Amino acid sequence: MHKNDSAIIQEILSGNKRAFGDLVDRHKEKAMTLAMRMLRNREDAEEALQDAFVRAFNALPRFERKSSFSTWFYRIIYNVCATQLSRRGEELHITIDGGEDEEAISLPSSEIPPDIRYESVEFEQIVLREIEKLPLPYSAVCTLFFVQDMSYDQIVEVTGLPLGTVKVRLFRGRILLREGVVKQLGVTKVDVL
Amino acid sequence: MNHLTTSEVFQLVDERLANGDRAKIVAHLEACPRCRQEVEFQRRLSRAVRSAPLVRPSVGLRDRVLNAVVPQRKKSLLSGIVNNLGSILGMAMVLTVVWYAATTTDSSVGSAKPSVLSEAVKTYVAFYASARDFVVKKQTQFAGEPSKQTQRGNEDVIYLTIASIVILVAVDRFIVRRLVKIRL
Repeated sequence: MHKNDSAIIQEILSGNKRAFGDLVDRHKEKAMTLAMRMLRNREDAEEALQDAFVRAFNALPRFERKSSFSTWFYRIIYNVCATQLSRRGEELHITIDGGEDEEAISLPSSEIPPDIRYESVEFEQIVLREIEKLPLPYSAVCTLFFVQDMSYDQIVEVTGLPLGTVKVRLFRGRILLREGVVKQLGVTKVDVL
Repeated sequence: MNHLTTSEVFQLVDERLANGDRAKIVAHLEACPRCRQEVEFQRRLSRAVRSAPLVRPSVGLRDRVLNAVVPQRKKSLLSGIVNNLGSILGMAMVLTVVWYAATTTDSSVGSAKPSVLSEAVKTYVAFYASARDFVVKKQTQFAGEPSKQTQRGNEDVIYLTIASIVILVAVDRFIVRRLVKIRL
């Protein structure tokens, strides 16, 4: 029987520290995906992931359970990755031109080809390539939204960004993703929707 | 005809629209193939992003994390005994059977054709009886006459062996494994 996060945390706090391995197993792949999308380097991502798990373990007695463990843990790994980026001189929190209102954003839109084979491996590969190409500020937010299946509020909690910024980054990230995929599918630009 | 905005398409795909707005947009989609195509594309794109393969960390991550957070303890003698209790008990059982066989003289098992099992037991008993005779002989040489052994039928060895195995399995299954979980 698989235990949920709360049961595992209870077990750890009761003294069975090795049960933390179960939490590692439950979250390692999604967390690694976030780290890879932010750091773009496997070695750095592994290091950040291990560091984040160790920090989470040490902070576990202070985990107040106001949010889910995953939200709390992703905040840790997001901050660890942000620190690594900062050391490298890369900026995660850039100012986006054009304001913070998604309704005001108007970007060029490419025409979708009529005969896309959505179930094909090629389509999946194009999507994966384009996700990996997303600029950093959009990549982290899009990964939290799609892979971690987080709500806007949870992304706000993880990233510490204002709600408006999260919405705009997600919006722009999705537009960039759409443009990239359509471009790869070989279609010319047309007017905005 | 005004097409849907990108924001409306995303809200529809994410199912974040209020019922009234949704009905209006669905009505528009029925009449607008271009917006229908856009919504379908965004749905498929979202699905593909969500189902994109996750990145697996290297195999040893769990151990590396646990080694970093849980200090390695030196195993105590008691925990060593408990963790090996199954083996210790198993050895004790075997030695008991060997002792029983070694202290019992060989006799006929019965008039019926002997089974494979009884043949095996006889071989087993004979082997240890030889060993016993050797030990007794040496003992006699150094310490004089040994005490008289109780005469018992070798057929008891079969039942004792089977009972030993059943007890061993039961002890290991119901006691030792639970004790080991305590992790002294």
